[in-house]
Amino acid sequence: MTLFILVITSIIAFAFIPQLKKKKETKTIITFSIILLFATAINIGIALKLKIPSPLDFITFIFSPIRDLIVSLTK
Amino acid sequence: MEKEIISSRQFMIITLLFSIGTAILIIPATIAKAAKQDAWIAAIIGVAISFLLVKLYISLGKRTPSLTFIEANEKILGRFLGKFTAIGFILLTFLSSGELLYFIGIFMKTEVMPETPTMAFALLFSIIIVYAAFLGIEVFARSAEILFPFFILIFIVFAVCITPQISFDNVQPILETPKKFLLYSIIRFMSIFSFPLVVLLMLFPSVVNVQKSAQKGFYIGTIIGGIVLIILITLCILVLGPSNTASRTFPSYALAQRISIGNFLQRIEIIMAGMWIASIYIRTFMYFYASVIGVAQLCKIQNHRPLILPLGLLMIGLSQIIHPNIVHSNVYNNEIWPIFSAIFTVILPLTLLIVAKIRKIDGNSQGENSNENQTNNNNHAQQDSENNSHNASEGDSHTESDSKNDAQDENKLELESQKGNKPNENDVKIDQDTNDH
Repeated sequence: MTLFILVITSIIAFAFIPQLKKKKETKTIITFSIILLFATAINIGIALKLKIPSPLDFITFIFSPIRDLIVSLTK
Repeated sequence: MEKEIISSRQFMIITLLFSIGTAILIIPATIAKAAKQDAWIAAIIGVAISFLLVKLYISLGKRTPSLTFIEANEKILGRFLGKFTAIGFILLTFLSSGELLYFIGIFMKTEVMPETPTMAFALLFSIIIVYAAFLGIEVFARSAEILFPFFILIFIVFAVCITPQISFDNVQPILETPKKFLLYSIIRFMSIFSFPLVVLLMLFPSVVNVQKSAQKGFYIGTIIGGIVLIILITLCILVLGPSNTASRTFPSYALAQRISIGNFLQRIEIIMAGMWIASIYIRTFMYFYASVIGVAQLCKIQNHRPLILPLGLLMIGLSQIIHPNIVHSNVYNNEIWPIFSAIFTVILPLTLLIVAKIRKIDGNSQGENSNENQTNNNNHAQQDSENNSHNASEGDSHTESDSKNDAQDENKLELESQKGNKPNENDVKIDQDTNDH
Protein backbone atom coordinates (compact mmCIF):
# COMPACT_ATOMS: atom_id res chain seq x y z
CA MET A 1 0.00 0.00 0.00
CA THR A 2 2.81 2.38 0.92
CA LEU A 3 4.55 1.47 -2.33
CA PHE A 4 1.35 2.14 -4.26
CA ILE A 5 1.05 5.62 -2.76
CA LEU A 6 4.68 6.36 -3.54
CA VAL A 7 4.16 5.25 -7.13
CA ILE A 8 1.14 7.52 -7.51
CA THR A 9 3.04 10.42 -5.98
CA SER A 10 5.98 9.96 -8.31
CA ILE A 11 3.66 9.72 -11.32
CA ILE A 12 2.03 13.01 -10.35
CA ALA A 13 5.42 14.61 -9.75
CA PHE A 14 6.91 13.42 -13.05
CA ALA A 15 3.81 14.47 -14.96
CA PHE A 16 3.90 18.06 -13.77
CA ILE A 17 7.35 19.15 -12.64
CA PRO A 18 9.18 18.93 -16.03
CA GLN A 19 6.45 21.00 -17.69
CA LEU A 20 6.60 23.61 -14.97
CA LYS A 21 10.38 23.69 -15.11
CA LYS A 22 10.23 24.45 -18.81
CA LYS A 23 7.97 27.41 -18.12
CA LYS A 24 10.24 28.42 -15.18
CA GLU A 25 7.41 28.69 -12.69
CA THR A 26 9.48 28.22 -9.55
CA LYS A 27 6.75 29.42 -7.23
CA THR A 28 4.32 26.83 -8.58
CA ILE A 29 6.91 24.06 -8.24
CA ILE A 30 7.56 24.94 -4.60
CA THR A 31 3.86 25.08 -3.68
CA PHE A 32 3.15 21.94 -5.67
CA SER A 33 5.95 19.97 -3.99
CA ILE A 34 5.07 21.09 -0.47
CA ILE A 35 1.42 20.08 -0.85
CA LEU A 36 2.35 16.83 -2.58
CA LEU A 37 4.85 15.83 0.12
CA PHE A 38 2.36 16.66 2.84
CA ALA A 39 -0.38 14.65 1.11
CA THR A 40 1.92 11.68 0.61
CA ALA A 41 2.98 11.74 4.25
CA ILE A 42 -0.63 11.74 5.45
CA ASN A 43 -1.66 8.98 3.07
CA ILE A 44 1.28 6.78 4.05
CA GLY A 45 0.40 7.41 7.69
CA ILE A 46 -3.15 6.21 7.01
CA ALA A 47 -1.88 3.16 5.12
CA LEU A 48 0.38 2.23 8.06
CA LYS A 49 -2.59 2.76 10.44
CA LEU A 50 -0.77 5.39 12.48
CA LYS A 51 -2.82 7.52 14.83
CA ILE A 52 -2.97 10.94 13.18
CA PRO A 53 -4.87 13.56 15.19
CA SER A 54 -7.76 15.15 13.34
CA PRO A 55 -7.16 18.77 12.31
CA LEU A 56 -10.63 19.48 13.62
CA ASP A 57 -9.43 18.75 17.15
CA PHE A 58 -7.25 21.81 16.89
CA ILE A 59 -10.17 23.91 15.67
CA THR A 60 -12.33 22.49 18.45
CA PHE A 61 -9.63 23.49 20.91
CA ILE A 62 -9.62 27.07 19.59
CA PHE A 63 -13.35 27.56 19.45
CA SER A 64 -14.58 25.70 22.53
CA PRO A 65 -14.05 28.73 24.84
CA ILE A 66 -16.32 30.77 22.54
CA ARG A 67 -18.88 27.98 22.59
CA ASP A 68 -18.83 27.87 26.38
CA LEU A 69 -19.27 31.64 26.48
CA ILE A 70 -22.28 31.51 24.15
CA VAL A 71 -23.83 28.64 26.08
CA SER A 72 -23.41 30.49 29.37
CA LEU A 73 -24.88 33.69 27.86
CA THR A 74 -28.03 32.01 26.60
CA LYS A 75 -28.75 30.21 29.85
CA MET B 1 -5.03 31.13 -18.88
CA GLU B 2 -8.32 31.96 -20.54
CA LYS B 3 -11.13 33.31 -18.43
CA GLU B 4 -14.02 30.97 -17.81
CA ILE B 5 -17.54 32.29 -17.87
CA ILE B 6 -20.78 30.70 -16.69
CA SER B 7 -24.28 31.95 -17.40
CA SER B 8 -26.55 33.28 -14.71
CA ARG B 9 -28.96 30.36 -15.08
CA GLN B 10 -26.12 27.93 -14.43
CA PHE B 11 -25.15 30.03 -11.45
CA MET B 12 -28.69 29.77 -10.11
CA ILE B 13 -28.62 25.98 -10.42
CA ILE B 14 -25.24 25.79 -8.70
CA THR B 15 -26.58 27.99 -5.89
CA LEU B 16 -29.63 25.78 -5.52
CA LEU B 17 -27.79 22.47 -5.41
CA PHE B 18 -24.96 23.92 -3.33
CA SER B 19 -27.30 25.24 -0.65
CA ILE B 20 -29.06 21.88 -0.47
CA GLY B 21 -25.77 19.99 -0.39
CA THR B 22 -25.23 17.88 2.69
CA ALA B 23 -28.07 19.66 4.43
CA ILE B 24 -30.55 17.31 2.78
CA LEU B 25 -28.95 14.31 4.48
CA ILE B 26 -28.12 15.40 7.98
CA ILE B 27 -30.11 18.52 8.74
CA PRO B 28 -33.43 16.94 9.79
CA ALA B 29 -31.58 15.17 12.60
CA THR B 30 -29.68 18.20 13.86
CA ILE B 31 -32.67 20.50 13.69
CA ALA B 32 -35.10 18.04 15.27
CA LYS B 33 -32.74 17.40 18.16
CA ALA B 34 -33.23 20.89 19.54
CA ALA B 35 -36.55 22.08 18.15
CA LYS B 36 -38.47 18.75 18.30
CA GLN B 37 -41.80 18.99 16.47
CA ASP B 38 -41.31 22.69 15.71
CA ALA B 39 -38.34 22.00 13.45
CA TRP B 40 -40.26 23.12 10.40
CA ILE B 41 -40.89 26.53 11.97
CA ALA B 42 -37.19 26.86 12.68
CA ALA B 43 -36.44 25.95 9.06
CA ILE B 44 -38.82 28.57 7.69
CA ILE B 45 -37.32 31.28 9.92
CA GLY B 46 -33.83 30.13 8.97
CA VAL B 47 -34.57 30.42 5.25
CA ALA B 48 -36.05 33.88 5.78
CA ILE B 49 -32.97 35.10 7.64
CA SER B 50 -30.75 33.58 4.96
CA PHE B 51 -31.97 36.26 2.57
CA LEU B 52 -30.21 38.91 4.62
CA LEU B 53 -27.00 36.91 4.33
CA VAL B 54 -27.43 36.59 0.55
CA LYS B 55 -27.98 40.34 0.41
CA LEU B 56 -24.75 40.84 2.34
CA TYR B 57 -22.82 38.59 -0.04
CA ILE B 58 -24.25 40.29 -3.11
CA SER B 59 -23.44 43.76 -1.86
CA LEU B 60 -19.91 42.61 -1.03
CA GLY B 61 -19.63 41.04 -4.48
CA LYS B 62 -20.74 44.28 -6.13
CA ARG B 63 -17.89 46.14 -4.45
CA THR B 64 -15.30 43.99 -6.19
CA PRO B 65 -16.89 43.01 -9.49
CA SER B 66 -13.86 41.41 -11.10
CA LEU B 67 -12.23 39.73 -8.10
CA THR B 68 -12.86 36.49 -6.25
CA PHE B 69 -13.38 36.42 -2.51
CA ILE B 70 -9.71 35.69 -1.82
CA GLU B 71 -8.52 38.57 -3.98
CA ALA B 72 -11.14 40.83 -2.44
CA ASN B 73 -9.75 39.97 0.98
CA GLU B 74 -6.30 41.11 -0.02
CA LYS B 75 -7.55 44.19 -1.80
CA ILE B 76 -9.80 45.39 0.98
CA LEU B 77 -7.91 44.40 4.10
CA GLY B 78 -4.44 45.01 2.74
CA ARG B 79 -1.66 42.58 2.02
CA PHE B 80 -0.79 41.09 5.38
CA LEU B 81 -4.16 40.97 7.09
CA GLY B 82 -5.87 39.93 3.89
CA LYS B 83 -3.52 36.97 3.49
CA PHE B 84 -4.23 35.97 7.06
CA THR B 85 -8.01 35.92 6.61
CA ALA B 86 -7.65 34.25 3.21
CA ILE B 87 -5.68 31.41 4.81
CA GLY B 88 -8.46 30.99 7.35
CA PHE B 89 -11.04 30.89 4.60
CA ILE B 90 -9.08 28.31 2.59
CA LEU B 91 -8.71 26.21 5.73
CA LEU B 92 -12.49 26.34 6.18
CA THR B 93 -13.27 25.30 2.62
CA PHE B 94 -10.60 22.63 2.44
CA LEU B 95 -11.51 21.00 5.76
CA SER B 96 -15.13 21.04 4.67
CA SER B 97 -14.33 19.33 1.39
CA GLY B 98 -12.54 16.60 3.32
CA GLU B 99 -15.45 16.37 5.69
CA LEU B 100 -17.96 15.96 2.87
CA LEU B 101 -15.89 13.11 1.46
CA TYR B 102 -16.07 11.57 4.92
CA PHE B 103 -19.84 12.04 4.87
CA ILE B 104 -20.34 10.34 1.54
CA GLY B 105 -18.12 7.48 2.72
CA ILE B 106 -19.86 7.02 6.04
CA PHE B 107 -23.30 7.31 4.43
CA MET B 108 -22.55 4.57 1.90
CA LYS B 109 -20.88 2.44 4.55
CA THR B 110 -23.62 2.59 7.17
CA GLU B 111 -26.65 2.50 4.88
CA VAL B 112 -25.83 0.88 1.57
CA MET B 113 -22.63 -1.19 1.48
CA PRO B 114 -21.65 -2.04 5.05
CA GLU B 115 -18.53 -4.08 4.29
CA THR B 116 -16.78 -1.70 1.94
CA PRO B 117 -14.20 0.57 3.58
CA THR B 118 -14.92 4.30 3.44
CA MET B 119 -11.62 4.81 1.62
CA ALA B 120 -13.10 3.17 -1.49
CA PHE B 121 -15.99 5.64 -1.67
CA ALA B 122 -13.76 8.58 -0.89
CA LEU B 123 -11.32 7.55 -3.62
CA LEU B 124 -14.00 7.05 -6.29
CA PHE B 125 -15.83 10.22 -5.39
CA SER B 126 -12.70 12.32 -5.30
CA ILE B 127 -11.68 11.06 -8.74
CA ILE B 128 -14.88 12.63 -10.13
CA ILE B 129 -14.22 15.85 -8.27
CA VAL B 130 -10.58 16.09 -9.33
CA TYR B 131 -11.58 15.37 -12.92
CA ALA B 132 -14.26 18.05 -12.79
CA ALA B 133 -11.75 20.50 -11.33
CA PHE B 134 -9.38 19.74 -14.21
CA LEU B 135 -12.07 20.43 -16.79
CA GLY B 136 -12.90 23.73 -15.17
CA ILE B 137 -15.91 25.60 -13.95
CA GLU B 138 -17.71 25.80 -17.30
CA VAL B 139 -17.92 22.04 -17.70
CA PHE B 140 -18.94 21.72 -14.08
CA ALA B 141 -21.73 24.26 -14.55
CA ARG B 142 -23.03 22.30 -17.54
CA SER B 143 -22.95 19.07 -15.53
CA ALA B 144 -24.94 20.81 -12.80
CA GLU B 145 -27.44 21.82 -15.44
CA ILE B 146 -27.80 18.19 -16.49
CA LEU B 147 -28.18 16.97 -12.91
CA PHE B 148 -30.77 19.58 -11.98
CA PRO B 149 -33.88 18.17 -13.76
CA PHE B 150 -33.14 14.69 -12.39
CA PHE B 151 -32.79 16.12 -8.94
CA ILE B 152 -36.12 17.93 -9.09
CA LEU B 153 -37.84 14.91 -10.66
CA ILE B 154 -36.58 12.53 -7.97
CA PHE B 155 -37.51 15.02 -5.28
CA ILE B 156 -41.08 15.39 -6.53
CA VAL B 157 -41.50 11.60 -6.83
CA PHE B 158 -40.07 11.26 -3.34
CA ALA B 159 -42.38 13.87 -1.83
CA VAL B 160 -45.47 12.47 -3.55
CA CYS B 161 -44.74 8.84 -2.68
CA ILE B 162 -44.27 9.54 1.01
CA THR B 163 -47.51 11.53 1.49
CA PRO B 164 -49.73 8.49 2.31
CA GLN B 165 -47.62 7.90 5.44
CA ILE B 166 -48.16 11.36 6.91
CA SER B 167 -49.74 11.57 10.33
CA PHE B 168 -50.46 15.03 11.67
CA ASP B 169 -50.27 13.88 15.29
CA ASN B 170 -46.52 14.15 15.01
CA VAL B 171 -46.41 17.95 14.71
CA GLN B 172 -48.69 18.60 17.65
CA PRO B 173 -48.33 20.48 19.96
CA ILE B 174 -47.21 23.38 17.81
CA LEU B 175 -44.95 26.14 19.25
CA GLU B 176 -44.22 24.30 22.47
CA THR B 177 -40.42 24.56 22.15
CA PRO B 178 -38.64 27.14 24.33
CA LYS B 179 -37.19 30.10 22.43
CA LYS B 180 -33.64 29.15 23.35
CA PHE B 181 -33.80 25.79 21.61
CA LEU B 182 -35.55 27.33 18.64
CA LEU B 183 -32.67 29.81 18.35
CA TYR B 184 -30.09 27.02 18.55
CA SER B 185 -31.78 25.03 15.84
CA ILE B 186 -32.13 28.08 13.59
CA ILE B 187 -28.41 28.77 13.93
CA ARG B 188 -27.54 25.14 13.24
CA PHE B 189 -29.82 25.09 10.24
CA MET B 190 -28.31 28.27 8.84
CA SER B 191 -24.77 27.16 9.51
CA ILE B 192 -25.27 24.24 7.14
CA PHE B 193 -27.71 25.82 4.71
CA SER B 194 -26.73 29.42 4.17
CA PHE B 195 -23.42 30.25 5.85
CA PRO B 196 -21.42 28.29 3.25
CA LEU B 197 -23.02 30.32 0.45
CA VAL B 198 -20.05 32.65 0.88
CA VAL B 199 -18.05 30.09 -1.11
CA LEU B 200 -20.09 31.13 -4.13
CA LEU B 201 -18.42 34.52 -3.92
CA MET B 202 -15.51 32.73 -5.56
CA LEU B 203 -17.78 32.58 -8.62
CA PHE B 204 -20.34 35.27 -8.25
CA PRO B 205 -18.97 38.56 -9.42
CA SER B 206 -16.01 37.46 -11.47
CA VAL B 207 -16.99 34.49 -13.63
CA VAL B 208 -20.72 35.08 -14.10
CA ASN B 209 -21.95 36.22 -17.48
CA VAL B 210 -24.69 38.72 -16.64
CA GLN B 211 -24.35 40.05 -13.16
CA LYS B 212 -27.76 41.64 -12.83
CA SER B 213 -29.67 38.44 -13.45
CA ALA B 214 -27.09 36.44 -11.51
CA GLN B 215 -28.10 38.42 -8.43
CA LYS B 216 -31.67 37.35 -9.03
CA GLY B 217 -30.38 33.81 -9.55
CA PHE B 218 -28.63 33.95 -6.18
CA TYR B 219 -31.95 34.77 -4.48
CA ILE B 220 -34.02 32.30 -6.50
CA GLY B 221 -31.51 29.49 -5.97
CA THR B 222 -31.52 30.13 -2.24
CA ILE B 223 -35.29 30.20 -1.98
CA ILE B 224 -35.82 27.01 -4.02
CA GLY B 225 -33.12 25.26 -2.00
CA GLY B 226 -34.80 26.52 1.16
CA ILE B 227 -38.21 25.28 0.05
CA VAL B 228 -36.78 21.83 -0.76
CA LEU B 229 -35.25 21.64 2.71
CA ILE B 230 -38.39 22.91 4.44
CA ILE B 231 -40.49 20.28 2.65
CA LEU B 232 -37.99 17.58 3.53
CA ILE B 233 -37.79 18.55 7.21
CA THR B 234 -41.58 18.78 7.45
CA LEU B 235 -41.98 15.36 5.85
CA CYS B 236 -39.42 13.87 8.23
CA ILE B 237 -41.29 15.26 11.22
CA LEU B 238 -44.68 14.25 9.84
CA VAL B 239 -43.74 10.70 8.92
CA LEU B 240 -40.99 9.64 11.30
CA GLY B 241 -41.94 11.77 14.28
CA PRO B 242 -39.59 14.20 16.05
CA SER B 243 -37.78 11.79 18.37
CA ASN B 244 -37.22 9.21 15.66
CA THR B 245 -35.92 11.88 13.31
CA ALA B 246 -33.52 13.20 15.95
CA SER B 247 -32.06 9.80 16.74
CA ARG B 248 -31.26 8.86 13.13
CA THR B 249 -27.97 9.79 11.55
CA PHE B 250 -29.47 10.09 8.07
CA PRO B 251 -33.19 10.70 8.60
CA SER B 252 -34.06 11.41 4.97
CA TYR B 253 -32.74 7.98 4.01
CA ALA B 254 -34.90 6.39 6.70
CA LEU B 255 -37.76 8.42 5.27
CA ALA B 256 -37.16 7.01 1.81
CA GLN B 257 -37.19 3.50 3.26
CA ARG B 258 -40.74 4.10 4.50
CA ILE B 259 -42.04 4.56 0.96
CA SER B 260 -44.57 1.82 0.28
CA ILE B 261 -47.38 2.20 -2.20
CA GLY B 262 -49.84 -0.69 -2.19
CA ASN B 263 -47.19 -3.04 -0.77
CA PHE B 264 -45.79 -3.01 -4.26
CA LEU B 265 -43.58 0.03 -4.78
CA GLN B 266 -41.07 -0.48 -1.98
CA ARG B 267 -37.38 -0.16 -1.16
CA ILE B 268 -36.66 2.50 -3.72
CA GLU B 269 -34.46 4.44 -1.32
CA ILE B 270 -31.30 3.94 -3.30
CA ILE B 271 -32.85 5.81 -6.25
CA MET B 272 -33.62 8.57 -3.79
CA ALA B 273 -30.03 8.44 -2.64
CA GLY B 274 -29.09 9.55 -6.16
CA MET B 275 -30.61 12.90 -5.26
CA TRP B 276 -28.30 13.63 -2.37
CA ILE B 277 -25.26 12.14 -4.04
CA ALA B 278 -25.81 14.69 -6.80
CA SER B 279 -26.15 17.58 -4.38
CA ILE B 280 -23.15 16.47 -2.29
CA TYR B 281 -21.12 16.27 -5.49
CA ILE B 282 -21.94 19.90 -6.28
CA ARG B 283 -21.08 21.01 -2.78
CA THR B 284 -17.84 19.05 -2.47
CA PHE B 285 -16.72 20.31 -5.84
CA MET B 286 -17.41 23.92 -4.90
CA TYR B 287 -15.45 23.59 -1.64
CA PHE B 288 -12.59 21.88 -3.43
CA TYR B 289 -12.56 24.32 -6.31
CA ALA B 290 -12.65 27.26 -3.92
CA SER B 291 -9.66 25.92 -2.04
CA VAL B 292 -7.68 25.17 -5.23
CA ILE B 293 -8.33 28.65 -6.65
CA GLY B 294 -7.74 30.10 -3.20
CA VAL B 295 -4.31 28.48 -2.82
CA ALA B 296 -3.37 29.54 -6.35
CA GLN B 297 -4.39 33.13 -5.78
CA LEU B 298 -2.82 33.24 -2.35
CA CYS B 299 0.56 32.20 -3.76
CA LYS B 300 0.01 34.37 -6.87
CA ILE B 301 0.17 31.39 -9.24
CA GLN B 302 -1.27 32.03 -12.69
CA ASN B 303 -2.32 28.50 -13.57
CA HIS B 304 -4.13 26.61 -10.83
CA ARG B 305 -4.26 23.25 -12.66
CA PRO B 306 -0.99 21.75 -11.33
CA LEU B 307 -2.28 22.19 -7.77
CA ILE B 308 -5.38 20.09 -8.30
CA LEU B 309 -3.84 16.61 -8.01
CA PRO B 310 -1.78 17.22 -4.85
CA LEU B 311 -4.73 18.89 -3.15
CA GLY B 312 -6.98 16.03 -4.25
CA LEU B 313 -4.57 13.54 -2.74
CA LEU B 314 -4.53 15.59 0.45
CA MET B 315 -8.32 15.69 0.47
CA ILE B 316 -8.54 11.88 0.30
CA GLY B 317 -6.14 11.64 3.23
CA LEU B 318 -8.08 14.26 5.12
CA SER B 319 -11.36 12.41 4.66
CA GLN B 320 -9.89 9.42 6.49
CA ILE B 321 -8.57 11.26 9.53
CA ILE B 322 -11.05 14.11 9.87
CA HIS B 323 -13.53 12.29 12.10
CA PRO B 324 -12.50 9.16 13.99
CA ASN B 325 -16.17 8.30 14.59
CA ILE B 326 -19.70 9.57 14.08
CA VAL B 327 -19.98 11.03 17.59
CA HIS B 328 -16.98 13.24 16.93
CA SER B 329 -18.65 14.43 13.74
CA ASN B 330 -21.97 15.14 15.46
CA VAL B 331 -20.33 17.13 18.23
CA TYR B 332 -18.28 19.08 15.71
CA ASN B 333 -21.22 19.82 13.42
CA ASN B 334 -23.57 20.90 16.17
CA GLU B 335 -21.26 22.86 18.40
CA ILE B 336 -18.04 23.96 16.71
CA TRP B 337 -18.94 24.29 13.03
CA PRO B 338 -21.58 27.05 13.54
CA ILE B 339 -19.02 29.21 15.39
CA PHE B 340 -16.10 28.37 13.12
CA SER B 341 -18.06 29.03 9.95
CA ALA B 342 -19.82 32.12 11.32
CA ILE B 343 -16.47 33.81 11.83
CA PHE B 344 -15.44 33.38 8.20
CA THR B 345 -18.83 33.56 6.54
CA VAL B 346 -20.73 36.22 8.46
CA ILE B 347 -18.29 38.33 10.43
CA LEU B 348 -15.56 38.38 7.77
CA PRO B 349 -17.81 39.53 4.87
CA LEU B 350 -19.41 42.08 7.17
CA THR B 351 -15.98 43.42 8.14
CA LEU B 352 -14.94 43.46 4.50
CA LEU B 353 -18.03 45.42 3.55
CA ILE B 354 -17.52 47.97 6.31
CA VAL B 355 -13.81 48.37 5.54
CA ALA B 356 -14.55 48.66 1.82
CA LYS B 357 -17.03 51.40 2.60
CA ILE B 358 -14.51 53.27 4.72
CA ARG B 359 -11.73 52.85 2.17
CA LYS B 360 -14.17 53.73 -0.63
CA ILE B 361 -13.47 50.63 -2.70
CA ASP B 362 -16.51 50.66 -4.89
CA GLY B 363 -15.49 48.77 -8.00
CA ASN B 364 -14.74 52.09 -9.71
CA SER B 365 -11.08 51.94 -8.84
CA GLN B 366 -10.40 49.07 -11.22
CA GLY B 367 -7.76 50.26 -13.63
CA GLU B 368 -8.42 47.93 -16.52
CA ASN B 369 -12.00 49.00 -17.02
CA SER B 370 -11.13 52.54 -18.02
CA ASN B 371 -9.90 51.43 -21.45
CA GLU B 372 -13.28 50.14 -22.43
CA ASN B 373 -15.16 53.38 -21.98
CA GLN B 374 -15.14 54.10 -25.69
CA THR B 375 -16.40 50.71 -26.80
CA ASN B 376 -18.93 50.74 -24.05
CA ASN B 377 -21.48 52.94 -25.79
CA ASN B 378 -21.47 50.73 -28.84
CA ASN B 379 -22.25 47.69 -26.79
CA HIS B 380 -25.04 49.45 -25.01
CA ALA B 381 -27.68 48.87 -27.63
CA GLN B 382 -26.72 45.27 -28.25
CA GLN B 383 -26.89 44.33 -24.67
CA ASP B 384 -30.60 44.11 -24.16
CA SER B 385 -30.88 41.59 -26.92
CA GLU B 386 -27.82 39.76 -25.67
CA ASN B 387 -29.27 39.52 -22.21
CA ASN B 388 -32.17 37.58 -23.59
CA SER B 389 -30.12 35.24 -25.70
CA HIS B 390 -27.04 34.81 -23.53
CA ASN B 391 -27.91 31.24 -22.68
CA ALA B 392 -27.78 30.23 -26.27
CA SER B 393 -24.50 31.88 -27.04
CA GLU B 394 -22.54 31.16 -23.89
CA GLY B 395 -19.87 28.52 -23.93
CA ASP B 396 -19.42 28.73 -27.68
CA SER B 397 -17.80 32.11 -27.72
CA HIS B 398 -15.23 32.70 -25.02
CA THR B 399 -13.90 35.99 -26.15
CA GLU B 400 -17.27 37.42 -27.00
CA SER B 401 -18.77 36.66 -23.63
CA ASP B 402 -15.60 37.86 -21.98
CA SER B 403 -15.85 41.30 -23.48
CA LYS B 404 -19.57 41.25 -22.83
CA ASN B 405 -18.93 40.65 -19.18
CA ASP B 406 -16.49 43.50 -18.90
CA ALA B 407 -18.79 45.83 -20.72
CA GLN B 408 -21.61 44.93 -18.43
CA ASP B 409 -19.50 45.55 -15.40
CA GLU B 410 -18.83 48.96 -16.77
CA ASN B 411 -22.49 49.64 -17.42
CA LYS B 412 -23.44 48.59 -13.96
CA LEU B 413 -20.84 50.84 -12.46
CA GLU B 414 -22.11 53.73 -14.52
CA LEU B 415 -25.59 53.11 -13.32
CA GLU B 416 -24.39 52.98 -9.77
CA SER B 417 -22.51 56.22 -10.04
CA GLN B 418 -25.57 57.85 -11.58
CA LYS B 419 -27.69 56.80 -8.70
CA GLY B 420 -25.17 58.37 -6.39
CA ASN B 421 -25.82 57.68 -2.78
CA LYS B 422 -28.65 55.28 -3.22
CA PRO B 423 -26.70 51.99 -3.07
CA ASN B 424 -24.80 53.22 -0.07
CA GLU B 425 -27.98 53.77 1.85
CA ASN B 426 -28.99 50.24 1.09
CA ASP B 427 -25.69 48.97 2.39
CA VAL B 428 -26.09 50.82 5.65
CA LYS B 429 -29.49 49.27 6.03
CA ILE B 430 -28.04 45.81 5.49
CA ASP B 431 -25.37 46.42 8.04
CA GLN B 432 -27.93 47.37 10.60
CA ASP B 433 -30.14 44.43 9.74
CA THR B 434 -27.41 41.90 10.06
CA ASN B 435 -26.18 43.42 13.27
CA ASP B 436 -29.63 43.05 14.74
CA HIS B 437 -29.44 39.34 14.22
